Parts: sequence; C-alpha cells; structure tokens
Amino acid sequence: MKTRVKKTFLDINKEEEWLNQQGENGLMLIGYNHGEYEFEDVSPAKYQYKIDIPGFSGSKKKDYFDFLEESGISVAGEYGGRVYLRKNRSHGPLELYTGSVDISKQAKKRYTHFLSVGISQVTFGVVLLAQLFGYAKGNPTATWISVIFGSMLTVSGMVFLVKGASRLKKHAPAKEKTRIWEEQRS
Amino acid sequence: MEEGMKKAANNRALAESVYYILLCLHRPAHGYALMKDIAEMTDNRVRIGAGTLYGALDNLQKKKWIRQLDSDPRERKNEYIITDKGKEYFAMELARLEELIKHAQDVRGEGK
Repeated sequence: MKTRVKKTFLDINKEEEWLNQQGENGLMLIGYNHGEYEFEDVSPAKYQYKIDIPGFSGSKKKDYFDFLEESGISVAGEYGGRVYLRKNRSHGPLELYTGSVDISKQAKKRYTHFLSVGISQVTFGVVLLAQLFGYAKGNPTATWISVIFGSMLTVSGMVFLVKGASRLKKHAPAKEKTRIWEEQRS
Repeated sequence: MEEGMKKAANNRALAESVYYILLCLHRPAHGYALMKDIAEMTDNRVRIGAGTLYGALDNLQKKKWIRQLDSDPRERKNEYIITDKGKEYFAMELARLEELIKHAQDVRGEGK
C-alpha cells in the first residue's frame, strides 16, 4: 500500500531521523517531490535512510549512483541537490561517509543553507531598514512597512546565521583529534 | 624516485583506508568487494562507507595510483587495479611503517 506524507524540514539531520523512524515502521521511501514523501508499506521489512549531498552532475552522478546500487544502496529520490538513499536493514548497515574529512564536509553542506538563508534575509532586511532614510522618509505607510518587514527579516536572518554557525561549529572535527591522530584524507 | 614523491613520503602517512584500498587492489576488485574485503581483513575495524570509497577511488584514479580495468560496457560494476605509481607509494608507506616498528623495537630492547 502506498502513502503520501507532506512535511517540511529545515534541518536535514531531523529529516533523516524522521525518515529512519518511518523505515523502522516498514515504510520504504519510493519518491520525494516538493515536500511530499511517497512511501510503500513493506513491513515487516525495515529500511534505513541517509540524505546525501554529493554535488555531482551528469555522467559523474550516474556513475556514483551505479556505484551506490552496486553497494546495495538505492536512490529513492532526488530533490534540490539532496539525494534520498535507502537500504534494507536486513542487508547490513547503511554506511555512506566514514572518513572524518568526508563526515565534516557533509555536515558543512547540510548547514550551508542555514547561512545562505540568513545572509539573504539580513541583507534584504537591512536594505528595507535603509529605506527609512531614503524612499520611505516622510511616507508613514512606507515607514511602517520598512520598520516591520525590515526588522523581521533582519532578526530572522540573524537567527538563521547564529543557528547555522553554531551547528557548523558543533559538527567541526575536534582539534585535539587531529593533533594526535593521523588525519583521514580519504 | 621523483622529488615530489620523496617529499610526500617524508611528510605524510597514508590514511588507513587508502592503505587498505591500495593493498587490496594488488588484485583486481570492484567497489563492493573492496568494502567487504577490507572489513573482513580488519575484523570490521576499518569500514569504508560507499560515499567515502567512491571519493577515494576517484582521487586515487586522478593521482594515477590506481586505474579502472576495461570492462564489458553492459556490466555496471567497474573493476580497479593498482598502478606502478601506486605500488611505489604503497612501498614507501610500508617502509615508513617498518621504520616505526624498528624504532619501537630498538627503544624497547625487543630487536636484539
């Protein structure tokens, strides 16, 4: 039986966690589009999921997907640079990135969108607030629009920036580790 | 030995995953077999995920340390093998590891 679920996530880690909960309940992801997940109930089988941001295109992407298939990992969906991967739990663990450099790179990719959303919101907010000294000067409606939307965008942008920066910091590899152990470069 | 090769050998140790990939590719192998062989050989201590292995194989091919074997175009699995250049780097890493062991044995008085 197929089911469709509409859900929006800002945090890819939380999205992955939610998908894995669905997989534990026997739901196999068969597609994703515009915030809508399509599952097929295959219980008692259980599925594991990973969201990958490989950054490949064209033949390289096809080659990578073939490589994953060969390793028992299927591509369940692809959207906006994100690739939804699944593996039947009975076929072993879904291991994608195991080197510390790769893990850190993926974590950075996952939180880069927080920073880009933050930067664009702060920029737009500041531009609106700047209108208080230009176009909106002497115009009460324009002044209120600039104050309300400018402040909202600036505050919201700052929240995204702080959240993005703190998550990037949290997922950065520990300095102590790299001082003692050889760095994994693969 | 090339100057660049000497410099690399003096300054850097191979990542453990790269060491095992080069070791296993002394015989032709495809990606999935490599992951399984390395996990088995190390009693599951060194496990290389598919994404990490794909990136490593790609980098090693760019460096010409390994190459893809000609395969049947209908076959999706690509087989890889170590090149002479890869063998040289692997030999340098082995020499470095042997030196480490020798120094440890000398200091601990085990080498006599």
